[in-house]
Amino acid sequence: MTTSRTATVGPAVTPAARMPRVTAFLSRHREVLRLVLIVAVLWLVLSILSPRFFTVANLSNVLINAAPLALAAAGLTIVIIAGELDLSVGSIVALVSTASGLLMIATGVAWPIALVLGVCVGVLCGLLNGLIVALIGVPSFITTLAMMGAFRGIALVISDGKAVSGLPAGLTELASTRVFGLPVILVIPVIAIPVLGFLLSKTTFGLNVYAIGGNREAARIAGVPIARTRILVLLISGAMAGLGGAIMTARLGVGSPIIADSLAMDAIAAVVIGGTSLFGGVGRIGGTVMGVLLVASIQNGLVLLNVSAFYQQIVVGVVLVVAVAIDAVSKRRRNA
Amino acid sequence: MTLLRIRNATKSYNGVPVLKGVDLELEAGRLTGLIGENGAGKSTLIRILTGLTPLDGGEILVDGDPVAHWNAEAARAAGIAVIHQELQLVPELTVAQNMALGRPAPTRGMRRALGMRDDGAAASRATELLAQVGVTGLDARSRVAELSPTQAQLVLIARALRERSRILVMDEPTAALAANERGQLFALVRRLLERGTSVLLVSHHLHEVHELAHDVVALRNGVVSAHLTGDAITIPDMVRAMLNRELDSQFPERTPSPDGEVVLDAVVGHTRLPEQIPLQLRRGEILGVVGLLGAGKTELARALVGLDRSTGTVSVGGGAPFSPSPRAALAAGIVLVPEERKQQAVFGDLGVYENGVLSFVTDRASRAGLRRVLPHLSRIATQIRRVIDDVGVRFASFGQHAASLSGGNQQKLVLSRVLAASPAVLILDEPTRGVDVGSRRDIYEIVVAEARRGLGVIVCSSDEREVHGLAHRILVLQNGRVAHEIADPGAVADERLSILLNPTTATLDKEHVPS
Repeated sequence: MTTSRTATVGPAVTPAARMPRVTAFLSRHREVLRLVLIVAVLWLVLSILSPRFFTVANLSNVLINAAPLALAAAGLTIVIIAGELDLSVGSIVALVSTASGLLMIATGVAWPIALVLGVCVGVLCGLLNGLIVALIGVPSFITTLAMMGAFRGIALVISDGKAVSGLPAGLTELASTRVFGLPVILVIPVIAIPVLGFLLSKTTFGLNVYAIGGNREAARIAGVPIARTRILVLLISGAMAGLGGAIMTARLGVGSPIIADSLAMDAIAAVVIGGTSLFGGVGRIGGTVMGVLLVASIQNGLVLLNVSAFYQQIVVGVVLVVAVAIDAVSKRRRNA
Repeated sequence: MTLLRIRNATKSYNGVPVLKGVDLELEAGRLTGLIGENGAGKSTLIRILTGLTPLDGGEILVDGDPVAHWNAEAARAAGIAVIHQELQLVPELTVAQNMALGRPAPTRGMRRALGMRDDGAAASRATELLAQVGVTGLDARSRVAELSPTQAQLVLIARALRERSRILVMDEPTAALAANERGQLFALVRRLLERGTSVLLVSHHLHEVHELAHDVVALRNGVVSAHLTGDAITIPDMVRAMLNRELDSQFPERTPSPDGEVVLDAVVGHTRLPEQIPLQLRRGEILGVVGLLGAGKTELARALVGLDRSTGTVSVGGGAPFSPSPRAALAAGIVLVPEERKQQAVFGDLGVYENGVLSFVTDRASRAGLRRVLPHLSRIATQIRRVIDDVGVRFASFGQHAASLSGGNQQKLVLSRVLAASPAVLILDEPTRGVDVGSRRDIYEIVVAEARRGLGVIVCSSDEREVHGLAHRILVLQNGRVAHEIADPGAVADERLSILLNPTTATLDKEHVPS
């Protein structure tokens, strides 16, 4: 008789009497829906404060700026649910950007192939993280902290610390191509993020992720492939950072070793605001997407309102603490 | 003298009433037993008593006076101390440091100015408190990790008494103790009662309640179903008060001893076992493994599925021998229901369904083939839901978090998980620890039914009567070795089994054991 919230009174409930679907859906996605509401209110407020906010041009700007963060944060969500951490995503973005830029300039590889190869570099970085964590047993926090330095260092070495410019025109055109006002390049997060959501909520791999993050020992006894799952989550995180790096390269028109230096922290913030527990075992991709939207909208809104970039950091920090505080308080109330 | 009284307590969670008007009186020098099935409301009543959960209705009177704002602070002021199911000590700290947690020994002068602690003073105060509860010969400077579970339990009680507690709430205090260690705890409880302390004992072990209690309050579905006093406290009456149905017998009818083919042939070792243990199990056989705490039951169980740094080989159904790992064991059909439900078995944040389907879809030998990549597919779901329903887990929806189920239901859910993987060998380690009488009987029935269907079952338990009531054959472990093998438990009284557990008495009685 532990926390007997339901305190099974009476006979077993028949399947027919179990919760109706809509109610079940609402209660299961309560946290994500709450964030949707918060973002909606924020958008409403920003639209009132600044007439420029709710325009196709501005919103598509918000989205394309947020795309690399959204990709990295989605990958990181899986990592954190599995009870791991990946601090190296920002450095992977920089390495991918630099590497694909150099491939285009120095070796003359066609730019689409260079971008794909760049993403593969991200996958390899993630795989390396995963192997060190799962096979050698170094905690992911330490491994990715070390790799954060190493990947960035490689990017600086191969580029000699300078941005790789003069990239093919096709690439920069890709970044500015719009359909109905929306950047075509957004097709990458629009496909990749739901795929991750599907992996997490519908596949055995996703179940294993929740299991090893929620109770590692029980997962081991239940026969969950622990090492393989840990390698895969870090590999996915590297791949998502790689995609983010590709988008950033296209958008900036240069391969740069110094970009995305605060990406890992921003991504962790978005994941946590999205309701994923840093202790592992709990979380959703949908929450992270809303977390990214919230952070990106706030930043955009503050720019439109001519608030200095320094204040933006303060605001995002406060939002993060408030989001986590709301979560902690509601959890305490539910357990009381 | 009534120290504390709860009058007409009501409490609901999310509209589900858990307590529907409960009265409880705690008197000085008397021990009240609180009994009830999982989900009857015992835990909620304790949470209310200790001020962790506010009351919806009703009132609490201390020394006859109603307390307006009852919370954890008020409960402490009223002299209530709680000993929980799980041991709540920090293993890496010493006994004295644990006892000083939250109440450091006072310091003076420079020490005080610098915020330094005084380990020496803490140690002497700890020794004093331990002496007060009659515990001597325990070094207050030893680390808690080095203590036996009983010693740790005694330390906890002594710590509770530093607050000058008048009311001691003990929630399953013997859950982590072996049978012969309970006596020491009970002796302490009796001394406390003589000093005028009031004790509320919550226990699934009715014989303990029978032995110690002056009063018994039985809860059923949130109401007091019986209040027994003195000689009226009998085990059959207590069982009747807890259950809606009466239990004719605690154990299902024993199946005839199987003489089918060998389903498990193993020789396994573990770092905490002195030597490898050979083991054979037939189809349909229930093998009991008993022993004192630390005798090696859990180590044997874990070694069979390759947990920890275990060694040796197993072969299932005459197949090729392999060195077990949890994955390989699962693929070969060996599954374990581990000892610690919360730490080792249940995924509290996952739903009932996800808890049930996990081993099925991670099993490489799963008949679901490629479909097991998608655990929510309806063809898998129908199968898993049937297993969960057949095992008799009670829950509101398949998405309900497993953490919100009662202990008995969590255990059944873990059973569903392993049975869904269609095992050939089922290993249960302490299958009924912290499980109420009703669920216990259900679990026994499932075990016997599975054995009848041809599974080989191994039951490791520190409850000898449970093993005695179920097993076709019993291994008695002492210090990590098989000390006795009892081929026909029906011919041995269960008291004899308790005696065999103890290495010293067992050698004297060896000649009486039929082999």
